Amino acid sequence: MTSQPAAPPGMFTESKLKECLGDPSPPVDTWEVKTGEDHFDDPAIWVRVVLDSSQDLEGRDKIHEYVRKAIADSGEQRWVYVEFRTPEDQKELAQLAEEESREVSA
Amino acid sequence: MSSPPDNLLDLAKDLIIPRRQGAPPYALLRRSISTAYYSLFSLLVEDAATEIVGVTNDKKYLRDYVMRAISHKAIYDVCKGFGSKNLNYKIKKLLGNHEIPDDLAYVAITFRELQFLRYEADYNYNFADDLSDNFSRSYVKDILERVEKAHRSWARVKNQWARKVFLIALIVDKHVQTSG
Repeated sequence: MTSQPAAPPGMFTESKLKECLGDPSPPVDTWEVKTGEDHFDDPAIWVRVVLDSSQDLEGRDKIHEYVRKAIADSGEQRWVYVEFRTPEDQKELAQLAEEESREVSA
Repeated sequence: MSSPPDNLLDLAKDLIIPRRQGAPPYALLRRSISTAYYSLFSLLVEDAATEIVGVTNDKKYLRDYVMRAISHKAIYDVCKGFGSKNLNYKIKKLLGNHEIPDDLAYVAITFRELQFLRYEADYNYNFADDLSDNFSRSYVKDILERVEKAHRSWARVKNQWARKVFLIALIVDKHVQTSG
């Protein structure tokens, strides 16, 4: 993804998009919003949903739907990519990073 | 007997099973995302070819020929309209009074998101400094759950008109001329 500092005309800025999502409430800890171009160079929006705990698929799908609807309702035409991150996930990644660096230095 | 798309989904799940203590090597996680993408890709292109050519054994090579004509970009484009339920005029007209079932929109959204992840998994080899830009096992497991649900959603729209329009659009939409 190529990040863009300013939104082109007719498109919301990252902070405005974050506003569309409202204040996060449990299980959502934070919304992280980025804009840029996707793998086919189309303008797109990425919303990373940082959860305070793991959620089952049904729970994640509800949040996923909410994010897409909140942004679509604002009149945005760009595609919204939604992804989820959890504390467990971050712990695993730290472990994976350690493993990767061991393999590189071996 | 399982179909090739189901086999690919099983393989994607198998790739993230820990083989030794700790998380699986990063390459396997990336491979799992890519394989899950191809499970959904195969499901759609096979059904699109069958929709056009027919299902009988004597038409196998003709189906393969049609499948080869469907690009990743064509599916990406068609999924945008069906996923957001915001279709171009040509497709809207074909749907008439038929609605896009939520199950079909779910497949389209999942496909498009997975395609982006597959691109990252296949072409972005480096383990990023920002840890949250990487794939963990639990992250990939969550993605696979969604892909599995997309397979089930696809099965549920089997006899719906919107599915037929979607499949034919995968093959012809980019070739349809709007004027001239």
